[in-house]
Amino acid sequence: MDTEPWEASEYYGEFDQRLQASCRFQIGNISLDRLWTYYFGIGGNADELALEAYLNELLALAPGQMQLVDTALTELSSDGRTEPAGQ
Amino acid sequence: MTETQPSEQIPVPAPDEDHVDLTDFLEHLQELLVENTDIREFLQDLVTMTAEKLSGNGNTIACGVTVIRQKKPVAVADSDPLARKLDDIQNSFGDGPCLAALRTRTITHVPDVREEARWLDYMQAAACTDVGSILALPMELNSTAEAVVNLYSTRPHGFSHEDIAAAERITATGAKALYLALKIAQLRDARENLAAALASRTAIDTAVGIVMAQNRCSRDAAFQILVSASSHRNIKLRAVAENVINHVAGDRNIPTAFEE
Repeated sequence: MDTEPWEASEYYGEFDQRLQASCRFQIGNISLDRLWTYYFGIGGNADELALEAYLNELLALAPGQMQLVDTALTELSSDGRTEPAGQ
Repeated sequence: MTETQPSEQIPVPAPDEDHVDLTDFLEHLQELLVENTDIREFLQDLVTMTAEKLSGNGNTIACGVTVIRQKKPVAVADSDPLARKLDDIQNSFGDGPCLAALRTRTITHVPDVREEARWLDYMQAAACTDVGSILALPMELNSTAEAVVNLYSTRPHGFSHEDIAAAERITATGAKALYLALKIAQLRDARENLAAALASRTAIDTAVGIVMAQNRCSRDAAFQILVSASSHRNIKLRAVAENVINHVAGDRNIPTAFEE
């Protein structure tokens, strides 16, 4: 895996991966809607409620799904896409 | 569309007590909603009309609106350069009467900029411009976003009791229309994102199938291969998937059965 700190799933446990995802989501200025839609678009299978629970550290996701959440967060933030007010 | 040049601000007759006629204002707002104009244009027309409605009797009023979402100003419109300048100054200080109105959700009135004891830094900067008095009114947007209408008069004590009442009515009316406009834009956005997600998912699923067949592996393993390729090369997952498909079929456009 790469050396990005939040992608260090092999070095930290899945709880850390979840915590990382949660932090990245909170500071990322992305709405849950937007994140879920994107995650679904790259093949994610968890529904929006499960994703919300995961990001609030209440639920575990399968390793593959956790990785897709990470990918979605990375791709959305590299787009510089924050949630627009109207546009 | 209404012109926004400050020099063209038409002085309307003095507001008749607080019985400002809002018929044309309402009609115009409705038109903007029907035409599905974008938020920026919508705000621009809103501030121009508000400034026109409240100016009169030789009292020129400039109007600015700031829309804030998740703590960041996302859209700003001003009826003229004075309002723009004052809004910019305030946003750079991060504090002032308008931002206070936004935070406390109450009307904030500065009758005389030169005698105001609050927000000293801002008032000092504002005193260098032509502004005499400031009135800031928060907009009720049912938590889709937060917005504040900033009114600037060139005169000290430029807002009479009646003016404040009129401004309140206009702001409340404008807020309802703005709420609708934001809601429409939000839904349109969500729909576009969903359509994009469906198209992207089709490509990724197809690529997963190809990798499964080529590597004789499970779906999870195939996903893993694609995700690793994406993160190692710093290429979007969708682009990786399209490359895989392209490699096999020479076909970049994967049609998605999704009707508009």
